[in-house]
Amino acid sequence: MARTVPPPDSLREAWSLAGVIYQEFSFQSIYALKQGNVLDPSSSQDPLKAVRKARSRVAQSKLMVSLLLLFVIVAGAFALTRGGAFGIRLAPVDYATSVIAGQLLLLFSLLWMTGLQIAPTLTNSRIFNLLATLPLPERQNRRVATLLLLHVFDAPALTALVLLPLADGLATGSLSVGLLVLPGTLLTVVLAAAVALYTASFFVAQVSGSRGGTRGNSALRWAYLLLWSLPSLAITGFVSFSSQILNTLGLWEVNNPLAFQSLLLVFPFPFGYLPAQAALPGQDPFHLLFGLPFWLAIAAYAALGVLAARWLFTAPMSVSLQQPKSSRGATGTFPPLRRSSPTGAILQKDLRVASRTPGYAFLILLPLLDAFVLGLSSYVAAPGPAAAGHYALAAVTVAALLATFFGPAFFATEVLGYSFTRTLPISRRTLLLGKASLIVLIYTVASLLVMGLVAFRVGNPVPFLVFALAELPAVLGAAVLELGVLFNRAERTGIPLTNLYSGAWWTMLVVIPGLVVAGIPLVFYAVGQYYHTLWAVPSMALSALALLTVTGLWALGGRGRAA
Amino acid sequence: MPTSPGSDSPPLQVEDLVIRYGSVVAVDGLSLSVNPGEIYGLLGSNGAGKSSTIKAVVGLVKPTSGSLRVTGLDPAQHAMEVKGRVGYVPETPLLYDALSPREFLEFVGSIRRIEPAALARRAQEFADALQITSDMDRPLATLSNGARQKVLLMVAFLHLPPLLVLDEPFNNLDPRSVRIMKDLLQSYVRDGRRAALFSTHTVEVAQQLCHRMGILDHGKLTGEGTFPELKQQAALPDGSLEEVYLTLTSEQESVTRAVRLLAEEA
Repeated sequence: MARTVPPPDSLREAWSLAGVIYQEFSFQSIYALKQGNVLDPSSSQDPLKAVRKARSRVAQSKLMVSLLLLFVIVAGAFALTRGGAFGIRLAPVDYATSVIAGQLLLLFSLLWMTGLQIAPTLTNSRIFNLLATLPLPERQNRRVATLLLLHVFDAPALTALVLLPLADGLATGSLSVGLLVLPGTLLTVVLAAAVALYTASFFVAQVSGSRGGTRGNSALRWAYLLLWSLPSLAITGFVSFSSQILNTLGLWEVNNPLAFQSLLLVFPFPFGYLPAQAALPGQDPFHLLFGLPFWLAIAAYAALGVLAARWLFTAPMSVSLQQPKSSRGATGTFPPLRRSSPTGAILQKDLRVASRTPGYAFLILLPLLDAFVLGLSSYVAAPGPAAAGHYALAAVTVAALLATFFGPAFFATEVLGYSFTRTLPISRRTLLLGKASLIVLIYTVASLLVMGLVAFRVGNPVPFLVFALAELPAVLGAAVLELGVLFNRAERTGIPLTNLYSGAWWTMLVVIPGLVVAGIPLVFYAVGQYYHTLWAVPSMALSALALLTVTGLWALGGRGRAA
Repeated sequence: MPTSPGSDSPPLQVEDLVIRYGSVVAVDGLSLSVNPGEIYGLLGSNGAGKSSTIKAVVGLVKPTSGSLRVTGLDPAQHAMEVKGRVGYVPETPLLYDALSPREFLEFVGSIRRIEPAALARRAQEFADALQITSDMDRPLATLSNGARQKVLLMVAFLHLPPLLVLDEPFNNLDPRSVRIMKDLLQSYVRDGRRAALFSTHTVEVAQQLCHRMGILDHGKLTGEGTFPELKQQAALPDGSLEEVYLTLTSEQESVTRAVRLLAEEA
């Protein structure tokens, strides 16, 4: 029997085209270097194998995001079953509301962050340029672009839509809770996808195209990037401070009920309040269910969701065809050129590329914002110098551990340019040290930021400074180790990671030994504190120096070896 | 024993070069040399092995066997020195899209340790000549392919290398810029100390520019020499370079057949 050919503007045809484009999208996000003709020989020999490999890598990364979501869902469901067990002073219904709202907020942040990582690839890969020239109705092209977006978000979105209502329903033993969690989850998924796409397109248009050179433009670019780090900051902040946040809400509930009621109208709290009411019927202390504002808020968010969904049906195509906005004010005058040392040039180039590439920009800001938040909490919340000191040490520890995620990130900044860089007389040692020095610079700035914030609260800042300095060689050692592993892989295959989303497993594999190197001196410090306080910092510093020596000898050996 | 530019070693010497990608043989026993003061053109169709040869010269691809010498140095043994003596224009203008041409020049100038005044002077002369001064602070992502190609040409010449390795260097360039670059290339090698390896599949450009040409077909050199020498090898004393090329690559008959078929279809 002859196969029926679907009409060119049918949904079936759109789905099929989206599948083809998704294949290209996966390929480009993994093998961005294919045009540099430095694919590994086995891939050149069997292109289909390379395509399958790319699809499998992207699928693995989606699985990893889904697993993270699963963790959030299960942790939230567990918290629902243990209401009041953590000493949180919050009415049971408000506790349940806050936990479900927290789950939705984390879902929003995780999807936003994922979207920010991959949405620029949608633009950079220019995969729709060809489609736009084919004799297909514009509506069909838009539909294909939207279906591609669906392909990209499918696993995390399905995980959320199925497992979040199921887990909360099981945790509360109520089917209606599960059913009432579903609309909030759906709305969150739609809003997160829309916000991710909008902020990514805004970034491509405004930041990628911004003129370098002037301080004002650089400041503007960094200001945009602060926005970029919001989702990741929300995730770390909420996970780290969940009990403090819940306790603060408890204080508001008692001391400032009006503010608390207003908060319950802010997304996603209303979508936590409704299932919480189903779990604990008859507990509506503020009589919100009988008030117009609550239902008006629900209607407004639902309307926003519909608008976002409609926008998602039209926007992906225009975003994918978008070009960075060409900056104004170009003159006919030749700009001055500044020359630096090779290591400095790599550091500066990486900083420039990372600050203009959404996927990496938030990584730079994350430890700085983390240091700021922890430092600020130590200033505001710590009762005395000792507690403030502990907060400060925690902030530096977190900054050191976060820095271990930079190795893959700064290596990935090479992407297409790596095939050109490899033709320059640049040694592996110089390239590696340039990137490692940027990582150390960020750690140092984060540490100084904490010190600046707690300077007035910590009685004696010397131990804090010594702690930060003692850890520094381990941060450098971790960076050198991770970059060494990545360079070895790139030498073998010619492929650096292209982004943290498409190379998520590799990122994790590389980061784990880095975390071990950065973590060992901290363990020495903790053990030293336990046995003899005086030994803590010296043992930490010695272990950090030993680790730097070992990793340095391994990664930087072979003088004059080209990159 | 390593030698310095200007010594007896030719700028490029390739002997029995083989490059394999799995079971695919991209370059099959290629031998050629580029002499001082010479522009050597590699002519061939897509997939003939031109880009693989060039990538091996600049260290992007490891040869499977055979030997390569750049100003007397083996790129495998002296990668840093060789990269310092070569100026390279890749076939595809793959650059750091987030950087502006000015920032890219600063990066390359710093890596190559070009004296700041010379870096600024040469970059300005190139930018003015190629009319991209007003693009110097725009991100490379926003520039046309032609402008990106001009940036790559600037970068290749910046450190005045003894050997220029140019893979389809005039792709996307406007006629004015092509003319400037052709004249520049000829005057660049005229002093007899420098040379260029030039790959193209445009026979007219090769004929105008190259002192000698090598015709590559399926990774093998099927003809080599000056234009008169190639005519002799093809036994076409009055033939054009296009005819000579098609004869030496045994493509004349298939071209005639393809044209006939297409014309009938049209």
